[in-house]
Amino acid sequence: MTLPPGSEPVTMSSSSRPARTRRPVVRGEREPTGRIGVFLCRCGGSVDGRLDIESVREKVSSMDGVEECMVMDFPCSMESRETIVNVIRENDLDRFVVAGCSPKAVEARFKSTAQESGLNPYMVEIANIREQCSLVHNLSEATSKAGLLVEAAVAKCSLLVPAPHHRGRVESEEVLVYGNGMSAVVATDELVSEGAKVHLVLPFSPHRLVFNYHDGIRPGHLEDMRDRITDSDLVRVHGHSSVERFEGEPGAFTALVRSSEGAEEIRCGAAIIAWEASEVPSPSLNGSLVVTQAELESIMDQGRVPDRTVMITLREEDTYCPERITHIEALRNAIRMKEMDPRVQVTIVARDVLAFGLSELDYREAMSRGVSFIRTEASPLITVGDTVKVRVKDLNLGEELSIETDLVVMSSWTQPYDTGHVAQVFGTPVDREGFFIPTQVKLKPTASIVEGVFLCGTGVESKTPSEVVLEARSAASRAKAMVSSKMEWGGAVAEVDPESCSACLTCIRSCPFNAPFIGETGKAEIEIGLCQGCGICVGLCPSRAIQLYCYTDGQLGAQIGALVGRVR
Amino acid sequence: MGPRIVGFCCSYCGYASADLAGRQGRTYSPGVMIVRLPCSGRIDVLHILQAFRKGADAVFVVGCLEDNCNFVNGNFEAKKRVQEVKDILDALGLGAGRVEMFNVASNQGWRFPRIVEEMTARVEKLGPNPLGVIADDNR
Amino acid sequence: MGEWGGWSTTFEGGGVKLKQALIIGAGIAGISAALGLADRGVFVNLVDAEGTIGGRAKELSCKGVDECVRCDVCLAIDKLYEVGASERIRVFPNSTIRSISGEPGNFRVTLERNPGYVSEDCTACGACAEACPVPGGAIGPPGMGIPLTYAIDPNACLWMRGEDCRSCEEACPHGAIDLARGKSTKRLQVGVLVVATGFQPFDPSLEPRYSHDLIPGVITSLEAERMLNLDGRLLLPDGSPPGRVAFIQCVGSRDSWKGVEYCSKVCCKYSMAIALNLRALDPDADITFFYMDWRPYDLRGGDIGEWASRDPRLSIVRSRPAEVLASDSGKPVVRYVGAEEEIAEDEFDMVILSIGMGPPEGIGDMAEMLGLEMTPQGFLWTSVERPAMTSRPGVFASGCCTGPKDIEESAMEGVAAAGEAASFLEGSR
Repeated sequence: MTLPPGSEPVTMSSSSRPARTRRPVVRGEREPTGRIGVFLCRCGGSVDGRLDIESVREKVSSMDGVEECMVMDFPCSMESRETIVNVIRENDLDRFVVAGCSPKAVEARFKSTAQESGLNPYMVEIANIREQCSLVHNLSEATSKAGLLVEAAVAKCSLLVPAPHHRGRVESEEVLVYGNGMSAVVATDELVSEGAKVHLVLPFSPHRLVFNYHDGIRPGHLEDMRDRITDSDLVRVHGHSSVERFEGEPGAFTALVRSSEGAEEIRCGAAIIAWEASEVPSPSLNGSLVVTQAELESIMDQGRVPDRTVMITLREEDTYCPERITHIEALRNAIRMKEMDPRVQVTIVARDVLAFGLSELDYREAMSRGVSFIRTEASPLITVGDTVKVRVKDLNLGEELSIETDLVVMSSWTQPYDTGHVAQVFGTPVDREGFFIPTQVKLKPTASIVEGVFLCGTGVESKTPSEVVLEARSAASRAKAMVSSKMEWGGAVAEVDPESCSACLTCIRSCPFNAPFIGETGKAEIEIGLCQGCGICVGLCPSRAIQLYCYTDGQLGAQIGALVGRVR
Repeated sequence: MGPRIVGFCCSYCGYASADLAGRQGRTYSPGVMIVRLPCSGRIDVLHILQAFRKGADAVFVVGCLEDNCNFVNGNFEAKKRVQEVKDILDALGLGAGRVEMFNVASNQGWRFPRIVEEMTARVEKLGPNPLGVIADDNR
Repeated sequence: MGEWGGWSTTFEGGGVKLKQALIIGAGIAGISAALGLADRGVFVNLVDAEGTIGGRAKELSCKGVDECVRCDVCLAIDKLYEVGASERIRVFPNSTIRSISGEPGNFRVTLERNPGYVSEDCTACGACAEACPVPGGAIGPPGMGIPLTYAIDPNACLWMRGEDCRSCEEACPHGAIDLARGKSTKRLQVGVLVVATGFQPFDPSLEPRYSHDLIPGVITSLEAERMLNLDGRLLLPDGSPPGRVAFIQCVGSRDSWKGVEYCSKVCCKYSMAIALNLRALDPDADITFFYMDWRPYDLRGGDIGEWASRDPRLSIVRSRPAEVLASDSGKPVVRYVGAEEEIAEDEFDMVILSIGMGPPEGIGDMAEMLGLEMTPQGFLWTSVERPAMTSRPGVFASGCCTGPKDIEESAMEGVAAAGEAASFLEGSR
């Protein structure tokens, strides 16, 4: 179904949620062609000059449905855009093809051009006759191939249908921060500094938080930040609460926050899960002779330092699992002990000393202050009596040593708690140990797989306090940027034809982004704000009930036919 | 023009790798026609079979490296579809080697011409598409 | 949306803050900062000394074969194309900073445009390359990055060597090549500055005992990456694949004799990725790692000991080699102290030196020009509590110029710089 030329593009009214508005449904039948314009780009000589653009123009002009076919210098430039807009209006075109360089470079510009001409921005097809044609083949080959490529683009373009889309401000500029420790405080502080309103939901967490040393952050700084944000007008703190439900789409999320006083629904444009991991206590701890690094720090805070200390940085397991901050922590504390009393004996047992970056300088300093290092492969054996004995195989000496010591300090491993529940509520996956999995693609550091939900904190990966700060502030900056800019929904999204849908739930199960859902009619529907346009559901639907705008089976079939179907 | 080969490329890695090959001045056989998909996961058995019906000698599908798909598991779905087509081609006696799935990264310009080389070599071994052109419809 | 010079906000101190930014350096950190600022409605002037943007990541390669090994390089490259698509970012390639004056909120900058010889009128039509008389060509496409202007290789070009050859200039149909072009200047007024000038890789000739310039099979990790990027394979100079490969870690890091005491953080991570690539392409290659401590920065690559225990062709030696010598047949031989305190010598076909990251060239001058404090290691000082904030208001820094880091962390710091700079301009802090 095509709209009459010159009519308004399909948009959503800003007060309604995009998914609920009627739109034309795309089916597999061949649609009647509208009037097509074709603009061939000379690309300053990288196309024209490497193939015969004139013969391409001649060939394409004679195609059915092509009302106007012209060669231009740089259709992507500002001046040319005006020409195109005029050509479209004067010729009553309702769609056009641009043949030139890669769509990856110019797609966005031509979508704007379409809109400026009063067309739906998705009624444009771009043929790559440069990077994938003129730059690769010789003159005659490139010319015939370009002819085919433009013909295929015209064939596809003739079947394009206006796609539902909407661009506008987010519905809520507030940001939800959900977390239980330092990263939540820092993220909120950054949001407030950048002028954003925050709902800070603090879950009640009985587990101890892991931050026992300052890593260049002034003592008291964290507390100052906490006071600042609790006093700020921009922050609403929901203490002892948890997020029970989280739904919606980027720019328009709704969260159900439950506390002991009841449940409240809040709106937000973005969310930051700022979760910390907690220490997993080592089985050997006994509170007095075998302690954690944190307990060692409390001992030192009281002005005491044992005569002989052995720090063990290996996990009590068969397989070696390094933790990122173990040695950074141990080295700092070892240096502090030597500062308090240079005569004390400090020994660190390690396989590899993971002193990344500038921590290497701490490693050197520790060595120069007389801290000993024993390299070993397996976790040492600890026997507790009046004092503690540590049996360890020293790789350098090749012997097993038995060391008597006053204190053994075990490095802790971390594990986030309750993340399974958070993962279910927000749709952000966690790994086997409960750590949140950040998304890798498009280099969105701090992004999760759910657009609009950001991740930070040691619940993602163990990190030092300075790394927590960087990550939390970065996540907050991105969240703020997101709610401050215009959102775009729709475009090349999937759509279900309810008549063909058999409600088998295949699409719901296969979509990585939770876009499909069963609607009021009992048939599947796709939430436009969540659909990323991959088309995975289209191929999997057993009833062939789903199509993807701009990549329908009919359009692809026309493209393939034009590219290949020639009698030999 | 050389053997007619259709390459279905995902917008992120596959298509970018082909673009980069062009920018780096690499060359490959002009019989290769690229069809852009949003994700390799959009590929349907239907499209690949259509290409063969129209006379393509070989078809390849290019998606991102495993674990690097922009849409999480589109490339795994594509791999399954390609395997299904291989089974069909074998059953028809056309040769499973005519269709293949490749995983590339967007900054591997050198890879695209190699893929074309490999598919061209396979066509030389298997011969041109014995079906010629079967259908002239656009469904 | 998209105005060029209008926006400004009033500043408490009475001055006016221009809603324009200058970002010095267009690697992943600079690009991330640029995109972040553009998202916030700020106009960005992105300056880079090279002819194309994208920074060091352009020299690095994807190291996955069928499976992604998470090196992040492709993601950094993808980002740079987003710059081209943005209408709020203006790129100044081949440019450096001649002077900066003014004050936070209103800096006056003079850019010096170096004679790239090939201007932006270049359309990559290739006429110059065809006309070039030098065998192999002295002018060619940059391959990656934008803009797509062709570049002259100063080592191969006859004109650059003093001879009178102007073939490319004469052949160019767009007048884009001007071999007599001198430097030009450009003045800008901006509200904030972001320094993102990257790093300088360790020069292996400073470690002559590893014979980088003497033995053909000895290459740096960067050279290995360039080779993989070009053709997907690691090859010896004679074109054959190496059967025995050694990696030497910490070259130019953790070394007080070289004045570089810190750990460069990323070398274990990336050399493991190169090794995984090698293993995927050649299951029979013998790979040996010479290292002191194994420090996989993000732990995603897995443990080297675990790999060694299940791969009989992977060896790990905890020892820092004393030197690399040439065997009678010209192959590199690594000499080191073994586990039994004996002196061992092992022959390889290829030795890859995992070189460290140093502060970028000219960082001292940049710091002086901008009045910024530096760290004792020679990088730009930034606050731990407020990442990307330097010692001077209105000036921010991100990426490796503040310390060695990987691509992901550089991007994060760039985003943080954008947040700091935008809120500085908006006066919300």
